[in-house]
Amino acid sequence: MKWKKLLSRAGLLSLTAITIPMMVAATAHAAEPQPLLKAMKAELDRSVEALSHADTIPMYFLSYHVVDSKQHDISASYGAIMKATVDHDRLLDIDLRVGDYELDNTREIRGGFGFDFNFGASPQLPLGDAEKAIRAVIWDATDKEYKSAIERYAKIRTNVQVMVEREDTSADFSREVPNVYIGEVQFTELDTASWSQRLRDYSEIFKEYPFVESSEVRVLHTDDNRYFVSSEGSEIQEGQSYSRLMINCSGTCDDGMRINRYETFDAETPDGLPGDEVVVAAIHRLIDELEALLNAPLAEPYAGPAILVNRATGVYFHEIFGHRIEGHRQKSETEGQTFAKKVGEKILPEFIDVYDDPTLENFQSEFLRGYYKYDDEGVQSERVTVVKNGVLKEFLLSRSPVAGFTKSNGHGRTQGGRDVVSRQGNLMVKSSKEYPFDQLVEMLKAECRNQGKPYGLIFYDISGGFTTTNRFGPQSFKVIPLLVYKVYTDDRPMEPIRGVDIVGTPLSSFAKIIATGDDYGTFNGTCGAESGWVPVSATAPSVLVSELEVEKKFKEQEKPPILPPPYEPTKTSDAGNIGGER
Amino acid sequence: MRFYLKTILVTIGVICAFALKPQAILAEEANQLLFDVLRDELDRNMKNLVMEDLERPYYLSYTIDDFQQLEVSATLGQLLDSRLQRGRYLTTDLRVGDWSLDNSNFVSGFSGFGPSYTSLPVDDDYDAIRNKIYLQTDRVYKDAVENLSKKRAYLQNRVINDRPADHLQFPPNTYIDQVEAFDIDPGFFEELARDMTSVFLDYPEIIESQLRVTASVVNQYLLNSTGTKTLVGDRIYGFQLSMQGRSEDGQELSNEDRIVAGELSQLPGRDQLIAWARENAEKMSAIIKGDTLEDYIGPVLFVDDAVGEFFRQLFAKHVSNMPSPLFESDRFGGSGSAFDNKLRRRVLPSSFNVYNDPTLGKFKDQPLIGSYAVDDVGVKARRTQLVKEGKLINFLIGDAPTKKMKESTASARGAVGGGISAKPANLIFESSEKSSLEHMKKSLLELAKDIDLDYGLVITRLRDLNSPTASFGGMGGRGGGEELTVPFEAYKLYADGRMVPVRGLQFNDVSVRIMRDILEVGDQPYLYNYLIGNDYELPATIIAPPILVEEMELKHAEQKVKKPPVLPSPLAGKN
Repeated sequence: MKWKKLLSRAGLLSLTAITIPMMVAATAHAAEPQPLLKAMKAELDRSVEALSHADTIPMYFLSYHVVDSKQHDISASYGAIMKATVDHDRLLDIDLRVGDYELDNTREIRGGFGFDFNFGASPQLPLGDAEKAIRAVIWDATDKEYKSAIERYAKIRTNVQVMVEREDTSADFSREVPNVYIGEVQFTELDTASWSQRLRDYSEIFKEYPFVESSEVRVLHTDDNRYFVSSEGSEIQEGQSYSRLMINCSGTCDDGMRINRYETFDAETPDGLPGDEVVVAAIHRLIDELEALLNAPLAEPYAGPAILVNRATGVYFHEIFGHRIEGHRQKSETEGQTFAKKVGEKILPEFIDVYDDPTLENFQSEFLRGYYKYDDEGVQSERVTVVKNGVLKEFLLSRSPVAGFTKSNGHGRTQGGRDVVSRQGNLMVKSSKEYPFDQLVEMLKAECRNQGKPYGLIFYDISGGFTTTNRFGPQSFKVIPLLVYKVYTDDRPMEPIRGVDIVGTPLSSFAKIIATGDDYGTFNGTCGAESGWVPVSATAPSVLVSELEVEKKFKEQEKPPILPPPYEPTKTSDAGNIGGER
Repeated sequence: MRFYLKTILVTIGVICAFALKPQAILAEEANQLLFDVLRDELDRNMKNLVMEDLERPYYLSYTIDDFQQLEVSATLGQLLDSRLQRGRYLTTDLRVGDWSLDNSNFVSGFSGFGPSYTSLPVDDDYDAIRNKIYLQTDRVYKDAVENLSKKRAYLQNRVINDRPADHLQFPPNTYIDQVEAFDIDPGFFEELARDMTSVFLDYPEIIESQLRVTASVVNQYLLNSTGTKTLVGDRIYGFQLSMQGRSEDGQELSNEDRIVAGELSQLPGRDQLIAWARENAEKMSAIIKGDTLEDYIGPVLFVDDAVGEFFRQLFAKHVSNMPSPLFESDRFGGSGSAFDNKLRRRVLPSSFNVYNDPTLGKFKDQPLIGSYAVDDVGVKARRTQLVKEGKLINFLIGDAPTKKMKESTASARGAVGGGISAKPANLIFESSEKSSLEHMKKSLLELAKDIDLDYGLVITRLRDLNSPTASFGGMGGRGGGEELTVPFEAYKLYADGRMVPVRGLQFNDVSVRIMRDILEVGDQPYLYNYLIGNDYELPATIIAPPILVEEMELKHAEQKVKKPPVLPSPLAGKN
């Protein structure tokens, strides 16, 4: 089964970033072709020359894609550094095709229970600039790739003959214009000493609160320098940077349930991450929320009106909707193909538009992690209108065409080391039926009264979720809320509750959206699927749904620690305020 | 002495110099700090840790492995990877019940697989370190009481004859070694790795070549509730070279070589290391061009590394004795060892005596990496005779007695996350009857002549049992599930002294019984340093002389033969 999970967590408030000056040294290379790109090109030319004229089965397409990635990672807990690491690797992906654009070695082999995956490890390229060494590794990998392509192509030709006609008869590979783009690439040197001290200071705050069992503050900075050359003439060099500050804390309820609270800040560079004031405020808010949840009552299964707050809506759309509009899922015969034949049909309320736009660097002041100029097949990224006035228009496409769509729209992505598939970039949900949030809450209460329900639910934070899109499992989803409040129809204050998961099926869930807020919020995360982990974002307003179903979640059974912490915590948080803040 | 499971390490990466806390703490104070934290949390838990009417711990042991480790890999003069990391791991062994029956050695679901470990802060921060230890102890205690109650219920329903006690009691031991400094210089090893792998640019016939360099410094702090307190400082440096190529007829071939040392000063110099890499490249090149043999049934002379690997796989692997774990589910069971029924029986020719001696520091001026002063549960190391006049008289055991062995041999060794078990240290094979290598060669040729062969087979290297080299075209592993891995370096020895490389062989039909067919033993023992474990964790040594085995069966390795590369290597000439 293919599970997709959005890793990172949504926070609650949109915070204005206050930056403090930090020393960040970067090794910047001007926008000129790097020796790595030249070595890739030299070996590509040599391979194309020989393999396109091979006497067995000639190759018709070859591309090399390299992600030269460096990641700094520092974490601290209770005022002390847990680890501080730097990782640097260069992974090579080869797309080598024999046959032709219509039928080639990459076609899905049908039958065989969907286990047609390529688990081969991608070769690591030398980190230096020495051309010979780089080319020797590429040469060896290309030779292996060519031999396995020929073997697979033979199997496919037989498979095509013994199996019934495919439902989607589109070609295996789209024809695209080659692109040449030489962007700047760089590696940022994180100021480890200064960040270590900040993380020690931040993480020490948790020490004062005895109910916080474990906690961590972590900073990550990644530079992904991407290189691409193809036999069609594409030559691309593009640098991307991502910085992230993550805070988490957890505790155990008396009944054994583990409660986790997270907050994440994203920026393109470490300088862009928020300063002390914002981070410290976020830590205190998480501590307050954790304590409130530890003391909150267990929720009962419920189906009724609910609001998903903006960033939670973003996660919800990413998981439940976004994965189902990825092109390859419309084509694979093991996929559920929820929307494959619904182009031109209404699939969402008419006041909702959905588009995915990797060309956007920011939304309002928020950095968008799903930004890129060229995708991992060398195709220029573009804004794709997926849904207009509730009607499905287009899918997110890589160079694997699907029925009715013969061209890529620049959404072929991979972590590096995995085959490219179509993925989301910056998913945007736009509404034309917007209300201020307070009014949306009043509408929620009214809807509850209409349905005779004593309360509705507001989901402030969702940690991600699971959805099965293939045919071996039910086409349902489960989303894991982290912060949920009960809103009564009378004047009682909101109450935090714990212990529920949102469950449902995609088609019916979206039909139940009745209005949205005007409060757009962005969730930045890292999405894991067939082609690995890729940075993404999802931006959406809060939505009011007439019915959302929650079920009891799995609960850990272990009691809280027997002994008190070995040092003397001095403070407790004032949990009473929490409801009022919302 | 312990090193780390690769699986733990890969998740982490390289490193950095941490900014010291404002008040820099001296190394000695830091050591004291770790012992203080351990002492305070150990005392508090032994005194107060109890859940309602359940039992208190009767034994608690903490081990902190405070380490720095560098891993560098390189190919063709370029780095592929370089990770330097600093870490601290805590291993907690907490027992409830008593020495005869406790929560250990019982597998229920995922629990019961040895001691439990967690990461500790690398800053010398008393509160932060103690907090992690406290939480970990709480978790381990809850698992322990639950496991013990399940184990008791299990034992009530079954008859187990002569069940040995669960835990050996040792007198308290104090051993304080010198603390090793975390002074690994990545630049030094990176440059060496580049220089050493550059030589392969001259050998286009070697399709893949890689050097892995590891350097580790570990200070191990152990404190337990019986009063044992030990501090062991250790280091290890390793160079692991692996090469792959393809013969003209398409057979895929591998070779590897390794240098391991316990001190920087014991490593060969830069020029010697480069020469060593070149020698290996030459040897690989010769192997690729070597002869083939359809099959071979006849005498085999094992020399050099091959002798160490022979005894490692046929003897060292089987000589530890551990109580079979009890599995809650009857569907599972422990696997036996080839020596299970061999106690007091002949395993080697009667001229052989074998010892395990962790206390031996050097052998003919060469340092042994398998030595230690205390084992990983804090017991003082000692020498044990394992084979007397060819008969197995002892097994190695750790901190758990078995049906056959009731006394510790101080062989409890373990890597973080891998649990502690009985493992050999320095194994010394001696024979009362010795021949010179020249005489052995003569005997080999005579035996060969008896079966109408004008040559005899000499094997100088077997594939390392735990080689990191991925299996390459079926040549990576052992042939057909045999007890011995494939020979990486084998030669036909002719009467005129010529040694002609033979490639692509594998053993057929080998079992531990083959050791009884050793006909002749050399007079010059050879030192073989190796690392036990799936991903190189515990250093160990075998000292053994060359051996001549009367008859062994080898055949041409079966594998899918691939066509040669379509294009020549870019290393070959102009492109």
